[in-house]
Amino acid sequence: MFSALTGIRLVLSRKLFAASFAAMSMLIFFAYSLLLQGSSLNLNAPKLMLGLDADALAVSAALGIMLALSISLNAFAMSRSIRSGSRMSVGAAVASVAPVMLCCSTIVPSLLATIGMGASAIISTAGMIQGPLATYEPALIAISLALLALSIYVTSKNIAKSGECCVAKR
Amino acid sequence: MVVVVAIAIAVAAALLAYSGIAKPAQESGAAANLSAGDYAPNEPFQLANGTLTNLSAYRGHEVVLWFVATWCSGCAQGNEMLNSSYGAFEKNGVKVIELELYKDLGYSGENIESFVKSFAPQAYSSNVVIPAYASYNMTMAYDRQGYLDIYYLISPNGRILYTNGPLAATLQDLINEVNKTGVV
Repeated sequence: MFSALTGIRLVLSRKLFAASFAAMSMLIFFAYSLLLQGSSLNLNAPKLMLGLDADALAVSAALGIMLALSISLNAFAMSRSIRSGSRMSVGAAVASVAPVMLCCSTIVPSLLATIGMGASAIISTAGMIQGPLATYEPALIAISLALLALSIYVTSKNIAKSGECCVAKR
Repeated sequence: MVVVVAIAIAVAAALLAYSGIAKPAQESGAAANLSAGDYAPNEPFQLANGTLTNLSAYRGHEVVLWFVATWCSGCAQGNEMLNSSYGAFEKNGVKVIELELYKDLGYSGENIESFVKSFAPQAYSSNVVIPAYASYNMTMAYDRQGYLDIYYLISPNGRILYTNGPLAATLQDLINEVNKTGVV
């Protein structure tokens, strides 16, 4: 745990990485705040700001900060040929975006039509894909947060381990 | 580095798809079948109390036919917004018939009445929103693409005045139309 924090500190002590982390955090936070407006996390509570309730705001902020941190750490690790957890970050990004994007938009029915399904088949099957995504959206977002946490932990630990040798070279 | 770029592109693509592509497609979805000026098909649907009816029972009144699935969070959001703006419909004598798409598009959620009661309690109790089930024929007639959360504003003589969706994103546009065309 301690070495992971050391890795994060090492990366964020670089001005370029700290600035890009801050900018990405804001950008990703606003991206998720748009996406989560129609989410099941944003129901049954008063909206505080950006059309989001407390839960959705907290999730947008957590995803914004963690995804930005994960990208910064992975970029740092890759630039120094250190093993990173980039696959987990990609998985987390997909898991957090997929349910909100696919559950209630026109994407799934349009794809089904594109692959040649008829209207009758679409109205009896589109829900089989969209429904579970909507139902399990909170779980998928929790999984993506866990994946991001794991990716941050693994990457920052590897950075801390190899920190002295590789950072000294640059 | 490639993976980092891929993540950034994925996030950007997600945003673009959601805000720039998905919504206009949804808006045009209704129009792909039926558009303003067409006569609204008089297909049967079932009210939550079990009564079989059709659109002709509402002749003389302006109605909104809103097609939802009860597992759809965007539709729940639409109900929440409708609940805070139902007065605009009430004052114009407009009923919103909220129709669960045929068999919830193949994935069952809660029943339509409890869905409406949970997310639009005041609009439901003031009888502005009427929960109902769309038949197969009605779903095919109004929403053969299987798009969620689209609606039609129907005139008292059964013509489509306006169509759009999703409701949460376009409620103000619908209210403007209702204010223009509503008859008490």
